Amino acid sequence: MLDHSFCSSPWFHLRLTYNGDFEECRWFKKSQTTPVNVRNASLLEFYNSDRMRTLRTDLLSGASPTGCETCQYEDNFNKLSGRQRQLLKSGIRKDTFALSLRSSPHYQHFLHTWQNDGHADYAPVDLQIDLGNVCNSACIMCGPTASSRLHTEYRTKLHKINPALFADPITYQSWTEDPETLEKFIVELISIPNLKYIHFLGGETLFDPAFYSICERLIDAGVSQRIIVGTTTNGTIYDARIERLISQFKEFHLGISIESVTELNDYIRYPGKIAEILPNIDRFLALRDSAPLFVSLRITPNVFTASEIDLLFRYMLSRHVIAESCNILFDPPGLRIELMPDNVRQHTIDKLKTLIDEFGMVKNNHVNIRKNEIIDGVIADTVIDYYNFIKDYKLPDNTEELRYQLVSFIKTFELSRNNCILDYAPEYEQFLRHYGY
Amino acid sequence: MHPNMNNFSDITAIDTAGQLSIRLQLQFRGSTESLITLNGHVIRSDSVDLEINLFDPIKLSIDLLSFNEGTSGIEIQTLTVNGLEVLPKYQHLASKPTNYIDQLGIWTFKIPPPFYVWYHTTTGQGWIA
Repeated sequence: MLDHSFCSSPWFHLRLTYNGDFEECRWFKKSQTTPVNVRNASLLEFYNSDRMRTLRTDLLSGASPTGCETCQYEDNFNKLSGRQRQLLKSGIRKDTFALSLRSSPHYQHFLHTWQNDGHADYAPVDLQIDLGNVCNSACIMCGPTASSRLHTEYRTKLHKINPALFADPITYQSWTEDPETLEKFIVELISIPNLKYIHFLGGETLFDPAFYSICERLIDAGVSQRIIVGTTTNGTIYDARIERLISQFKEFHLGISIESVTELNDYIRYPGKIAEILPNIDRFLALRDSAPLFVSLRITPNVFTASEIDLLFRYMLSRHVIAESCNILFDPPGLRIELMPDNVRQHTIDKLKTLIDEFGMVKNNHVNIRKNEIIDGVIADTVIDYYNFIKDYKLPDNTEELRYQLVSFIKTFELSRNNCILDYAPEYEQFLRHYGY
Repeated sequence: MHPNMNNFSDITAIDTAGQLSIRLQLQFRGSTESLITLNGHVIRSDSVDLEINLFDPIKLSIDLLSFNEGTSGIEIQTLTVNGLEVLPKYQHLASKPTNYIDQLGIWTFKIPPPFYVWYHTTTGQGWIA
């Protein structure tokens, strides 16, 4: 049914990926069709490309398009999905879907598309721009296309140790390294009349010169005061240039990626040190008092970090900061939360239940979660979402195969890095030994 | 309310008449004389249900003609639209920020159409793309 599958995102949102290929959406699984690249197509050309028109037509027809699986999976658990968040940007509510869609300001644009073979008579308003893979981190759930450090490690070690799990990485040039392409794109960006939100991703954006140059150009062009800028950092560095940028935009949304407040984070988000990251988070949080800044933690819980997610939630409560979980981890498949050993899973459920009871948490179903005045309610939603997910998830059909793959996966990293998961998560020893650790 | 929305044609086929159900509950305290209208309909009881078009504005007006100072007035206990509370929750958006009318003159509360866009904005659901 339409209320279970429709998404308004393709009418106002696009993603530009690391190598310059456009994608339909920030949550969309990588398209298998012919790439359209920013080096030879403009953003607006892609906006009404065959791919986008097909996607819009499918969505209006009530289909569940290939590529939208992440949101479909999260919707099954009533977890706040990208689809729900994008629908809200069209004023469409889940609880009154038909009427709020019928009275959405975008209704006329949907109608136009329905009558014109997928064509949209609107323009992008919300963009995700992946700048490249320049990054000082090599997180184990990341890939070489998003981390230059991991790219090097794949090439020099991981692929040689375990070519089955670690493919020889493709070397590509980030689109931002091509001055002509960057200039052309910035000019187009400035010309988009109704642009409201840009989310920049790296790599590590605070390292990337392109991040600063695009922001500065938006400021110089006099359009920054109508634009909300968001970006995600790994928290390993605090660059003072960010302080000036924050005040120049309508709002600035800063996501800080951490998975745990213990040293387990050091293992997952290698080689960052949580002891250095937490003080940086406090510095960023302090900026909230004097600037239009919204800070959130960006979490992607996995088979290990889910076991101490309660500690992360307690940290969030103490710092008055929400977490945004962009999606439930699917890839690498061996790191999926659903592979947790039964005893750890049950212990995690118990700890989350204790937390929920201790703070009297109730579900608020907030969708627009970036508001400082509802932080406690948003945290409660997140805690309850994860409690329900960990309690209710079904094991994947190939669980045994994936658990063996998990061990092979981490052993490869550990050979490269000379570290050991049991130093960080000793409660997994029996489980991991069983699968060949 | 709207089952079997299988594709966009089902949305376009919605008859927009009568899609907003307004429920108004009043309490008359003490002796008052007033003219109360909801979307032009004169209200004479303390409980009213009204159905309007999805794209109609909503206007509640209370003209208090006489009352006893300090002992009488009209309380708007609830105004809901399709079950969503509007008053007293958003009384600060009325011509006078109250849900208890005890002053002579006209008190009004207006919701510009469409209701769901107003509700989105008023409840702080963020920018619309």
